[in-house]
Amino acid sequence: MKKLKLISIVFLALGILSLSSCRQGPKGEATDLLNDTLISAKVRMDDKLIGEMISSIPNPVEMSALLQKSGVVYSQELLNPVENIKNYNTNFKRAINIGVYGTDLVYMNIYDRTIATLKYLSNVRELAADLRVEQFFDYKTLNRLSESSRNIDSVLFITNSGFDNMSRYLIEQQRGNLAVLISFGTWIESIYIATHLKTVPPHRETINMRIGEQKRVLDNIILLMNTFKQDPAFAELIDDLMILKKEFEKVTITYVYNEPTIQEINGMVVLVDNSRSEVNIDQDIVDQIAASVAIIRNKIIN
Amino acid sequence: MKKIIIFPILFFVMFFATKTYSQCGSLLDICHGKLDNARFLKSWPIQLPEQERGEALPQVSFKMPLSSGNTYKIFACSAEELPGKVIISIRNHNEDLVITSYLVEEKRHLPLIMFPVAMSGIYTFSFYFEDGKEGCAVGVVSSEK
Repeated sequence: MKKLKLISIVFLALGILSLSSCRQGPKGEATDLLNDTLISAKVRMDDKLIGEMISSIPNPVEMSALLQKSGVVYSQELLNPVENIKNYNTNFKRAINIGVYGTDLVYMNIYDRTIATLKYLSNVRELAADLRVEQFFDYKTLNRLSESSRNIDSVLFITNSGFDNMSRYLIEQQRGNLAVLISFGTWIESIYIATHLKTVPPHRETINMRIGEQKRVLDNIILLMNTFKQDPAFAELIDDLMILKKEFEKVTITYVYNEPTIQEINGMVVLVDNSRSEVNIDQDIVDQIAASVAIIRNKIIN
Repeated sequence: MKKIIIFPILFFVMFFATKTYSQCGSLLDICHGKLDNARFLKSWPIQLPEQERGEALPQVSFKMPLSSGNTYKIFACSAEELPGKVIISIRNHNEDLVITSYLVEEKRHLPLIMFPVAMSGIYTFSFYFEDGKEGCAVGVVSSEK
């Protein structure tokens, strides 16, 4: 009987220890303007819906891949400088800039700048640790893989799946506000790079079309952000996004629907989508969008 | 005496529950070999119970933007430990069904879907298991380089 009691006490102690280790605060707890758990508890938007809407924010791989395919020259000066990390002393800024640095990482990898990614990787690690979500990135493997450009696909796989798992975890933990900010960070950085690159026709038109398509994405982002608008930092960001939305309203997107046709080739189904979308956007609109994006992005990274 | 019996039962229940979950969670590691030369974009873990009599077919849906000019390679892997074989269906933003990974007439599952997109927009990816069986799977979206 005594033995049983002893075992129970040992298990209880282990349980308390593991719980307390989970709750360890970040090393630079500092001035946290965003009390994430508190806000989530107050405003509980349906977690499933938050997850679904976050999924509708484009993966930065696609924009970077388009830029590279279009022959756009790599521009390191467009990226968020590594040393800016010292500015991020709130969870609000940390979360957004995990996304910003994440997109920079993807951009560098797509352009084979693998060695340069190490410092950015370190920043993502530090910010993720501050938010207690560093467990989703295998940094040792990423560091090793980043030594060779042959491993780019593996690096992108680990990075992307890490971001997916981190987002799911945050939502499960009722910290969906941070998941929203991380995804927003990836998006704004992608748009910033795409709108500030030096390109020549005809590639500019392709990139401009992709920029115009972000009109629908921005609507979803604003909807997501509104869930947390009680937080002053979110409210300020929403105001800025509404200005950007006004610029995007000048973009027109039309859809032409046709029945798809399906072909099967060697056991693979190939869907020929006969529907198409047309984006109407001219360079002036892109320039105005670029200016609004730059204002938002500069507030975020500085 | 009762405690002595309950303890091992509890241990085995917890052990097997964890085992099934971990196999479900690690499916992406096995499934990502199907990527070949495509770039990984997104994955979703799917775990659904068996369909109850008179109840709707259990399914989960996710939204994702797809861009014109890109060809997407979409596939899923089901866990062998559970009976359900996963089926993917994709709808455009107008809610029209554009493709499914299961050919109903032939009762055949397709290993992957190649989708060259001409209409940019937010698509809905729905996942469910054949005959409403219990299952766990991972769905993957990648893009051709």
